[in-house]
Amino acid sequence: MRNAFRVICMILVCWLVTGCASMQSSRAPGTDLSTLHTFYVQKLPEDDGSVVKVISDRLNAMGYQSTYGAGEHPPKETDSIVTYQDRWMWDITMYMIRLTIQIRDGKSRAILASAESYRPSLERKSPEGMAEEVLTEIFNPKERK
Amino acid sequence: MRAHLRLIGALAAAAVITGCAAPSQPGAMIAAPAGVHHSRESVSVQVSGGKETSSVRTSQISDKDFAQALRESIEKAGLFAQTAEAPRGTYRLEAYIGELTQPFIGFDMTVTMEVTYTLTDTRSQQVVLKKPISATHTATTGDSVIGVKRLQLANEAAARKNIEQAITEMSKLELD
Repeated sequence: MRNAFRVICMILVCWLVTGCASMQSSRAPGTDLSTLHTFYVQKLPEDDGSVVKVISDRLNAMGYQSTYGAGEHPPKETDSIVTYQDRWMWDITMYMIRLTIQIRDGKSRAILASAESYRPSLERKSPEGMAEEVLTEIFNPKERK
Repeated sequence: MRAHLRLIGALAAAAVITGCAAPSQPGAMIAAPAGVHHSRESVSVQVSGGKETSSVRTSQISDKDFAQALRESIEKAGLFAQTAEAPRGTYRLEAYIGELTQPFIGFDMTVTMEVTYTLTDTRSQQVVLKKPISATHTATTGDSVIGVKRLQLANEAAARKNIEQAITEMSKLELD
């Protein structure tokens, strides 16, 4: 009986932590992202400020000019507004299981491009790694590791 | 120990009855807005940005299924006299699914779908409408007790509301 209990527990744990990492992205028809230079990352109300900063910092590291804030509109007009959704799970420690980023037109807010990285526990990356992966997929898909 | 086994048995049973994710169905995404302006022209419909459903992941909305629902909604509402295969059609409607935000788990499942619609007059190549439309729907345990089914229902309703808003916006143009 005790062995059966252990086996069932192990199966449940495996079911929870396994799975394959995946990356999906898309671009609106006729979109040219090379015309975008300035970005404003709009903070989610539930974000304590860490994820929005990670995304904005990554854009700056990629050579763009990025700022972030809680308002829906940037204080100064930008070429693009960036929105995101992050999902977290617990497995020994908290980790980001999914990060989705949308690149929007600075005026109309229409989505120009979007990408999503999904990484279960055993293939987890830091939020910085997730942001790098997603933004590279959007702007330079050939360079993604 | 027996209590533990019962709990694990219940969890395993729950995992089994929740089943595999199914794609959102075109028939359930068809909108029927009232008071729509009728154009005598034809329109072709193209969709991008959708995702295929994997049985081990969550229910998604594919390009093909959304295009079918959009075409059938336009025909049903009488917005255009007929829908045509691209590149034919006096107008070309491009729908880009930029966002489909879904929860992982939960009793109430809220899905937000954002689509950018671009309507172009193919005779002049002039864009007559470009508009991002966002629609949200929450499915509850009253709709279905099965999680994957609840998410599918939320997807379909969000898509239906999105199409309804898009048809209303295009109707306002009062195209000949």
